[in-house]
Amino acid sequence: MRPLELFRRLAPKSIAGRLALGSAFLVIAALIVTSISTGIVLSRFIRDQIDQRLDTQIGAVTSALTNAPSLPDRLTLNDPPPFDRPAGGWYWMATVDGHTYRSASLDGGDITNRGSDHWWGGWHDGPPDANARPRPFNGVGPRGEPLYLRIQVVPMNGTWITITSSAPAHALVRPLRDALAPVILAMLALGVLLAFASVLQLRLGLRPLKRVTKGLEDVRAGRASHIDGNQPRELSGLVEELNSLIKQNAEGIKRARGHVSNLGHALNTPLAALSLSLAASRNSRDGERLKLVAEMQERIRHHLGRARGAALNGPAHISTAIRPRILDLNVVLSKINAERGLNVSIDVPEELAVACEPQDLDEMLGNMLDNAFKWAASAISISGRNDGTQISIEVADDGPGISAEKIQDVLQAGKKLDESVVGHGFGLSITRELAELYGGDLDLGNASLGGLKAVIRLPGSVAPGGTKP
Amino acid sequence: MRILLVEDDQTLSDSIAKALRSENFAVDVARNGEDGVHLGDTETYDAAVLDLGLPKVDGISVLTAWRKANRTMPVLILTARDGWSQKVEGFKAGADDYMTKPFRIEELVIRLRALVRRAAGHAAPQISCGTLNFDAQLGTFEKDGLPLKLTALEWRVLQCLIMRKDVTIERSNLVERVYEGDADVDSNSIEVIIARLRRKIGHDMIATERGRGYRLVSSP
Repeated sequence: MRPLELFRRLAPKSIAGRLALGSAFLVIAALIVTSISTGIVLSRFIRDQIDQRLDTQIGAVTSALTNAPSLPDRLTLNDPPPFDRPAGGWYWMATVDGHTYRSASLDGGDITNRGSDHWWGGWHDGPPDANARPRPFNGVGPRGEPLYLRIQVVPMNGTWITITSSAPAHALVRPLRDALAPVILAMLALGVLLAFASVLQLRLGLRPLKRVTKGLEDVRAGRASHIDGNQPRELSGLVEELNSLIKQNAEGIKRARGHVSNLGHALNTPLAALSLSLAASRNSRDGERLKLVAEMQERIRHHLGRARGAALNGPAHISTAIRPRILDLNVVLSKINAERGLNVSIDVPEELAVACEPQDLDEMLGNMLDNAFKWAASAISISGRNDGTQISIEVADDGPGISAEKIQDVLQAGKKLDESVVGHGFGLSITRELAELYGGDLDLGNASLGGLKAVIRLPGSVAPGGTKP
Repeated sequence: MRILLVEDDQTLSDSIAKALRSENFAVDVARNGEDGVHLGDTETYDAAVLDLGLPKVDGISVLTAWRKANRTMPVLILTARDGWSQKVEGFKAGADDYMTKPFRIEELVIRLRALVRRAAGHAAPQISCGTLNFDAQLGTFEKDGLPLKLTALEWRVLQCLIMRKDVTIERSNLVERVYEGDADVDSNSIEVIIARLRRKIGHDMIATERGRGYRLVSSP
């Protein structure tokens, strides 16, 4: 497996996760590099300070020895602090021709050179150089305390003086530790802050994506016709493409419905002419042919209804308020049935809306109302309510009703309850098929008015100014 | 009773016209929306049968144009597009009834008769005038309980008179409602028909208002 492939497999699946992982990696790397480089700079600075002190002391001892007319027995210098404190680790020692001079702080002890573990330390091979600067070593003091040494060998009257000055080893480490601790703490705090900032940035940065997702959801649920085009530049292309896809889809559906409608027109008009000429004929066999024409008509209606439904592409992209459609249909049917003086009561709240194409809702409700108007003796009641998950609309009449056995027949496509009333039953089967395409259903039963009660349930949607069920 | 039929399909419009004429209706046919608008706007009709899918001007626009010009005759939409949305659209534009193709001609005839009767203000299908009785649903006349045999022209004149019984109907109005648009109208023909009707239903039933027109009298 190549490393890139491994990364791909192990990397989080979310963009946020990927970005968070990436920024965490960078922040940690940056913190480590910063901490190490700060440490190096600091330790060099501290060592330079100590070197300077020790070298000054070496210089003082050297000049005291070289300026003396002859080698003194004892060398008493006015040691500056901290060389004046006994046993503090700040010592100096000079040896020449087996004679050893010591700082007062050494209290008669010796500094032991343990050689150098510094890469820059160690003696040169060959004779010491008269102008060489002091060199660093590690050593221990008279009490075994670890020391940092600077040693210089200087020529004097044909012999060499070896001058060693020392500082306690912790003098190098402690200030570094003291200085680095707050730096590292600050770095950690910075890291945490950066992590927060990057999470916040991710949230903010990815919010438009969430908005687009929500917009797409709204389109699918029928609450919007398109995604808001006012998006960050990076997303505007995607949103534009999505919107044209949505538009294309809607146009495709519209075109398909247009074709279906034209097909209906193209088939029904000659069929009408045929049925009229058969009806006018006196040939006795034409009665049967007329029946065939009627059967063809029903089949065409049935399959065109299905084709219309098939033109639906998944859930509807639209929200249709129910009440206006019912009022319109009621105007139509009341006008057609004006003479019968039917009493129609409509109890449908304004805010009820379904996620259906208006034409399909018209088709479903139209067939239900048509059936009720056809059979009602005097009264029709239309009511709608929100079931919580779906909207249900009930159409009841006080007509003869349908027996339980026959209810199934009514819902079977094309079966008529009463051959003498054109289209009876057929409409309800179309209603049921359409309702099922939308994920709803149609139930028939006995109404308290005495006749048939048809209840259709459809997926709810948000009407303008309403709330989603 | 004169009907305007606006239907672009030749075969269908021919057979509808033929069937309606056999039911004593006078029928004018327009084959496209433009002619439909013009005829409906300039001629007098008792009712119109209007297809929605028309060349030049579509049916809904034809209907809208008529209503805009205050043409109030009842309009029955006859279309192959059977969706409820189209029905709603049709009624909103001012239609009075709606039938989808294919249909039964008997039903079209019954509905047209009902539309004309309702437009004349008669709630019940039985219209009586003295001993003369008209069944507006079946389109039959009875005199003293016996069926009356009438020619198409006689039927149209009598139907027109009984729809507005006791009201004087101008001669020109009668001519407009009895003859088809392309008929040669003899200046005396209405008088001839009235004379024949008087012989069949009784001379006193139809009063002549000189210089104005005729009136069907309910109590002579």
